[in-house]
Amino acid sequence: MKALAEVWDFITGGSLVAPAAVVIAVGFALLPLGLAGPLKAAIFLAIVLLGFVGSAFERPR
Amino acid sequence: MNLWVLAGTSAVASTVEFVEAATIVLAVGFTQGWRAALTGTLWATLALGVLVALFGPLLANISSVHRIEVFVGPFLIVYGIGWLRKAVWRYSGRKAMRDEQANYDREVERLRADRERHLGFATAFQGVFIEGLEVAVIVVTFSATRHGSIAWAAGGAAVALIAVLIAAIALHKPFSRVPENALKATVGIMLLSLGTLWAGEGLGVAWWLGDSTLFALVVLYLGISVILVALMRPQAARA
Repeated sequence: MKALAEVWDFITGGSLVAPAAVVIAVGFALLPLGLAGPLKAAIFLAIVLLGFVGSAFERPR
Repeated sequence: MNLWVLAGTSAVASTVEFVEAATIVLAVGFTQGWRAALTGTLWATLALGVLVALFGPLLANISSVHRIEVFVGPFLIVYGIGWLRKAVWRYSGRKAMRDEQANYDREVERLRADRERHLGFATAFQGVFIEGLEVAVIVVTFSATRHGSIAWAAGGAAVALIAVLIAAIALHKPFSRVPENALKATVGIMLLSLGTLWAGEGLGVAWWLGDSTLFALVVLYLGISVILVALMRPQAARA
């Protein structure tokens, strides 16, 4: 369990925001919202971007 | 389609895929060690060979590649963000720049840890496997447009592979002289951009510029990183 946690920590760089943003972005893209392609792409990218920016403001470890 | 045009188109399309794969292998090689990078590449090539030999004609169905991208893309996004934000922190002063000798020692220690070697291996494997699969799809799809043209399409892809390999070997030395944090930032931006592109493609997002969206994403993430460094620098100075 500890080894698993360490691998997870290595992949995520200790961030909670980045994986959360990816889950939300993937969830959004899977929803059948009937959005136009470019709009769907823009919202998907915006969520990933928010994940990156948000994780950059997390406390450095 | 004229056979030369078919081979040329196959070469150009394959170049994009090979460059993406080479970027990931170089990134893993410089950060996780060449053993992990080259082992991952070798195994991915073998796996691809077996897959193409067994299921070649089925590869014309592009949706199978997109299904794999759904799993690899998010992994690369999270992994890329981890590296890029660390580079942003160091440039802004929120986190101390590492001493090169200490950095080297730590890298050596890191490479001794099995699980990290496995992550480097997994990243190289996934990158080469996905891109190789896309090249196989390109070759099979293009050759389907004209009977008996598979050798021309495959030949175009082979020329592209040789060109990218030569470029990757030529870039190897200059790349190794890049400061560690710049390398981390570059790799982070590339992984994040590729991850975004692939995850989106796999999930059915229609990118505005097709595969060329990758370059737009690189510029975007670079710009955001520069802004973040500028925003964080005064805060770090006050702390």
